[in-house]
Amino acid sequence: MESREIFWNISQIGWLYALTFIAFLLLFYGCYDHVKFWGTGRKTGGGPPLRLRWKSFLSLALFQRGILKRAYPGIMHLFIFWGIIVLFIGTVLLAIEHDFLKPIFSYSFIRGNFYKVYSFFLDLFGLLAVIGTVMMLMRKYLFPEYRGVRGRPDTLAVWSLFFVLVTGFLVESARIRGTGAEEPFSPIGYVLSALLPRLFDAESLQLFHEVLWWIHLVLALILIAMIPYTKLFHIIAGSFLTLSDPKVKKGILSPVFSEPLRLEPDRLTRLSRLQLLSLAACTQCGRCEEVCPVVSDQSLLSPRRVMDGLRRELQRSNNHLGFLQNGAFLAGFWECLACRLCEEECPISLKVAEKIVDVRRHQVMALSQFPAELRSVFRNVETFGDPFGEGKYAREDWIQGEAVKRRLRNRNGCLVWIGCQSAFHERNKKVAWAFTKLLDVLSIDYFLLGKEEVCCGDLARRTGNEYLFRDSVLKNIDTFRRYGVQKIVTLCPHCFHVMKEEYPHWGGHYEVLHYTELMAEVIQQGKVPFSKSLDKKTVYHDSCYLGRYHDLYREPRSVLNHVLMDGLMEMEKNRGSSVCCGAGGGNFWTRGNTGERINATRLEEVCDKGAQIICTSCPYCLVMFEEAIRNQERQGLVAMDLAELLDLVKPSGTEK
Amino acid sequence: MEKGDLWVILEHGNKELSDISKELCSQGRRMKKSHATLVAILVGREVQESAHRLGRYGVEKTYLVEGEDWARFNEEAYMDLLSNLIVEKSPSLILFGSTPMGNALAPRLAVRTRGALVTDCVDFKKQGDRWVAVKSIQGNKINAKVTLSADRLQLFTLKPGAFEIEEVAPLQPIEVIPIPFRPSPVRVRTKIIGFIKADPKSSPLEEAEVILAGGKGFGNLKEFKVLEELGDLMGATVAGSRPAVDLGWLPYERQIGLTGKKISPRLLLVSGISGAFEFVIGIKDSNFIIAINKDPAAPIFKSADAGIIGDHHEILPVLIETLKKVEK
Repeated sequence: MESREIFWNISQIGWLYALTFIAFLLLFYGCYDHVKFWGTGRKTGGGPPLRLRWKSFLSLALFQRGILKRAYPGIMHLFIFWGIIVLFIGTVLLAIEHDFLKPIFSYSFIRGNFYKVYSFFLDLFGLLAVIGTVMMLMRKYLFPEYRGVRGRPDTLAVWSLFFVLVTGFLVESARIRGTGAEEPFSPIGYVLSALLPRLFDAESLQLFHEVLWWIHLVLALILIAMIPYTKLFHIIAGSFLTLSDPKVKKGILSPVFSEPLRLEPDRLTRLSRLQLLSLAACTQCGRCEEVCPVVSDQSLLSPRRVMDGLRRELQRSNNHLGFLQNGAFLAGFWECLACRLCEEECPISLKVAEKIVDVRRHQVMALSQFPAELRSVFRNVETFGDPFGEGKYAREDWIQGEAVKRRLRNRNGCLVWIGCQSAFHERNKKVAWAFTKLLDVLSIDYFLLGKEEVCCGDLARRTGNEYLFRDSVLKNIDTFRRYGVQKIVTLCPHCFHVMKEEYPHWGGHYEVLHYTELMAEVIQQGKVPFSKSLDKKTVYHDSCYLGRYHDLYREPRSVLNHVLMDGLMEMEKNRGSSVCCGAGGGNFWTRGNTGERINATRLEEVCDKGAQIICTSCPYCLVMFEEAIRNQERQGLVAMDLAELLDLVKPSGTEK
Repeated sequence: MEKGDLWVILEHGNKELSDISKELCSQGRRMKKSHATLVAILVGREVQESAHRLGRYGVEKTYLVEGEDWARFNEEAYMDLLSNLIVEKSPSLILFGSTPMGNALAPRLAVRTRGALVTDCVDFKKQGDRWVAVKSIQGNKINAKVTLSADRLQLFTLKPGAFEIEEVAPLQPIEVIPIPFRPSPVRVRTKIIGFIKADPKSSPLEEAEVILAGGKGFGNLKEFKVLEELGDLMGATVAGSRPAVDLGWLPYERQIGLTGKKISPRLLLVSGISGAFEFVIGIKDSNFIIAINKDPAAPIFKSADAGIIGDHHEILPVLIETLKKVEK
């Protein structure tokens, strides 16, 4: 019956157990350190249901769906991951048989046909792991722009892995040669054994085997012991993270205060356990840095450095944000657009933007340190209920006709939430106007709150002023209650997001729609056919809050394709990979990033397509593109909101 | 106290009465009781001439304090003078301008005389035989009405520009009483040795009185420098829109607008700026805005008090030439 002589010519097996013991001691000690640090985090209760956790674990950890979004590194990592998993399982099975079943029950199962399959799979996956590791080494040495493996510990880990695998195969081949076994079901070892120099006599073969065997063992144990001290720890932390923090709903921030209003200082000064876990799970692969629109030579922000810096600083300070002192590092936090492109790109969906907001919260609420431009914005929202400081009586200035004026607070139909941008900003007033006209044409019942509206709070929340956010939320929820609001249609994706996903924490449960959803619905029902008559080359820019936050990619496109004669053109970066206009995360109100203007870069992409209209459905994006068009003096290109575009086309049959 | 006179503490520059002084006199005349006298306190060097002209604004009596000692405003000397004078003459009501001088004196005097003070008044309303002061609070968004107890000396500081100046005819004879007062060296411990004129180039944008704003319309830095030349001639501060700052023509602290400074100068000249909302939101509080733009449809004209439709490349050099001629 086929089986394997496990140790063949290895004596002094005692050393094996001693070294293994030391390696695992180091492993556990390192893990203990991690757990201790993790314990300094605040607890976050609840969490998503178990079913979703397992789903996320299977997809992101076992099937590596996240990392496979990119082919080369995806396959590389997949090979190494599954190679090591199978080899590890093989070794564990062997240990179970040799150290437990055999001595106690005199039972062995790794023999016969099972042994053949076992040996074949081990060889196959070992080979995959070698290929993966070689790919990694090639990437490191042939493509210097790749920065996943950096620093001595990383290099040591990769090379150790490589030599563990190679020596493993060599040991196998030497054993096969030495024992004279016929093992074609261990294909790699078998082929290698034939290739071993004929010069080897029995004695030197044994020496060769023995030396390599010990090297193989020591390197493998070093790798195991290294895990908690290097980024190899992502194996453990990442697995736990995918289990405990699946991406169910995206971009929702956790509240700082407990209700009735009480601040637990911990919530301001400490990151949560989940966040500490995600810091430990980050491998610094740099995908976030590659896609982040803010990152440039002059910018201070890099999501990768945010993760790395936070992990190191917080380990030093025992998870206290007050010890973040590096001014340039902190200034970078204010450049973030909260666009979530980094989170979307991250192989295990680490929440970077969430941590950035947590640091901003500490800066704003504990230290009162934030960009000077925000001072008046905060005060305006506080005193006047809008960031422009125009006051609530100016909120109805955009309304031109009596018909719309009659809609004010008449409680008929759904609430159309105008929002500060559309109520006060000269450019966006036109959008509000176009949209209400459209609703009248479509004879959809709606009402407006006018001066009863207060800033939705998104701007305050994303800039870390949770107190102000809470204040706005409570005011609005109270207004909604007084007017019996159940269904809300918003013009702005930012209002849409907070009302849909973040108001429920304070008891505000509504059916919230962005107006593009409503329009898509109307068109789908076919009640009001718009004519397919607009013959302008049009591109659609996905706003972050509609796109990455809510995956509303189909709705605006279906509306546009309905009215565009030649159909919609797509930009290079569209849908999930769309780039922020540069206004998100409070950057509309501040001077923003120190590098190249983001709206300018994005506009160049539009111009490359030769578009005549850049269509968007977010007031922030609209203003940013208008500004970029003005600055670059682009002729023949206009920025328009989807509502304006529809207003231009007019539903056929309603023209008089 | 009720029986006492009504005093106004006047200010002047270059021997000319400042506008706030005329406002104080006119408002004082409207507020004084029939039996009381409207008294002006005029302090300075060589101010006798203006003391006699005060009758035009309804002043009946002037306490004139003249001499080298009073050439410059020194709050300790003024405090010594006024507190002595108040004890001696016991007025019932004093009006100050809400100016650096008035703001320095009124609170101190209120404490020293155990009087009652309302600052930053924009109006007065009669209630029975008493005056209710209206003052603006919360960044001028809300008006508060304040009454004062009648048994104390009442002090008010008045916002410049909020009150109407009235001239009286026929001109009444005015009694000018010189007060020979020398401040006690014990009380006056500070001495002003000179003034350093603020450089409009380095003073904060929020405090600038006259601002010249330029934008991308200037085309290049060389053209933009014309604005600086004009600024030097006018003693004005040069600022710009975000594009001008992004192009590196100006440092960031000279940026006006949503992501820059919100300004409130007395005069703002805007050229080469179309007037996007993001810019306009920063100039809303300016007192008087003149816009120069080639395009009659430019949105900046909506925000301007006066507009010139034309090319600033032609207009500004003419302005510079004219100013140079005037200076000669």
